[in-house]
Amino acid sequence: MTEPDRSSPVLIQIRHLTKTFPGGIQAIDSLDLRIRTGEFVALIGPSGCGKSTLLRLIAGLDLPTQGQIDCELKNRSDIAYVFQDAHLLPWRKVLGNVALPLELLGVDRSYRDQQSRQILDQVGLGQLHERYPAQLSGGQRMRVSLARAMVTQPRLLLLDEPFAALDEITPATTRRMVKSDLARTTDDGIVRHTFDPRSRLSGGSGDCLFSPSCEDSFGC
Amino acid sequence: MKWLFRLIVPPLIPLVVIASFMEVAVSVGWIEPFILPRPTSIIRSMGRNMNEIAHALVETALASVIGFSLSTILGTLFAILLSLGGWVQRAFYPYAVFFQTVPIIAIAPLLVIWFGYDIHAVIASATVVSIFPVVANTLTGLLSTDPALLDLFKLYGASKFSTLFKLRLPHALPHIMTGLRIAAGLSVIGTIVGEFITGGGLGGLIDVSRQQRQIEKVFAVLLVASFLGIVLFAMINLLSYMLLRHWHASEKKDPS
Repeated sequence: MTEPDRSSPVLIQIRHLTKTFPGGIQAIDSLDLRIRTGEFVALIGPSGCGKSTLLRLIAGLDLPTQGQIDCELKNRSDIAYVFQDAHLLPWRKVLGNVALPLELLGVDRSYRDQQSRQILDQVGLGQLHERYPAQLSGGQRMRVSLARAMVTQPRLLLLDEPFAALDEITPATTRRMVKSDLARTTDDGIVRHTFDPRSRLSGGSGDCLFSPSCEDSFGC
Repeated sequence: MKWLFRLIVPPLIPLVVIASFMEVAVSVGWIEPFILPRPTSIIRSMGRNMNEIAHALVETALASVIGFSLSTILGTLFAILLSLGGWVQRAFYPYAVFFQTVPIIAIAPLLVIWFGYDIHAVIASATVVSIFPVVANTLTGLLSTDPALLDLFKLYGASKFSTLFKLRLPHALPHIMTGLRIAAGLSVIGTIVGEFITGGGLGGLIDVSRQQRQIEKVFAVLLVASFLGIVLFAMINLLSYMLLRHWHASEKKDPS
């Protein structure tokens, strides 16, 4: 992946962002952050320092206590979120799981099935689309989860430690798959931002951000 | 064939042992026959009264199935209502508990006053007795939806309706099936209690046979009533297996 272009338009502008949970636990304290189109950003820090909270706030799943997030992405299909575990619907087959975001966005069945099959082929699970999640390995389930995130061709991909629960070989393979997909789609003019605390350590390029509560930060 | 053998033989062993003990105990005079009849006389009584018992069985089965169906529909709808928010739950849940704690034998006469001396009162009795497990289990299922999946649905702007039918209810299905298993047996109990008051069905037949001191006939009808409960339970088990076998741990095993 290429280094981000500093002249690229700003996609997300975060100003004085603070998040305090009931009980007074402050997860984020007055954070300022600018993310440009094409950037690959990693958040690194110990557990509980607010990484996931920041991702949730950017995704619009939670509201900040103070501050604001200006986001250029207005369509729901522009943002995708991958959780630490696969979190698939166990009663749906692989194809139904991957097609879920398109189904919720009201896309017609023939198009969403075609799109889902295509993305499943890309992640190497094209042959397994008729299986249930319980019939897959942990790594395969995670790849289905990634395929589900990518099926809407999002412009912002938020990865919340999705490889943390996997063994060392599987995440390396899966990371390569995500990055190659990122590079390819960037060439096509679709840009994503990936937040993955481990991607810097595995050779990811771009910015690294650190929670204020993290002492051993590498610097931005 | 082997699986059928493995399914049927184990429960038959205690039945044969207990029946043999009863037969011997009554034959040698350890127990009086008017307290506990011989299994062979129960079977003979069942044969003698086959038509009467079969007619009563149809009546009871009909009321049980209708009562059970009403419990399933009303209980699920009530649980969905309760799952809408904490305030709704606080306001209405105590009334759901009422159905669990109210002694049905005490309110059965009231049901007769409200619904008349016919099958309507019996159905009402079956519904009142069997609705709480459906409400409680469905509500537990609806409230334990994976928060990450709720986030996912929120991220893509899913409506409440869509979230309910595509996420919350399918997720609650194993809990709903547990509630239905309990409700199936209870609906037969509720029906029999209702029939004690209204007459008719297996409940009425038990009551009349008891008054006529035909103890072996009481046992014969009791066995048939238990059989009805078992059939309903087995049908729910089959439904549960069909719905959950691919994805839920409770049904992944081969039924054999």
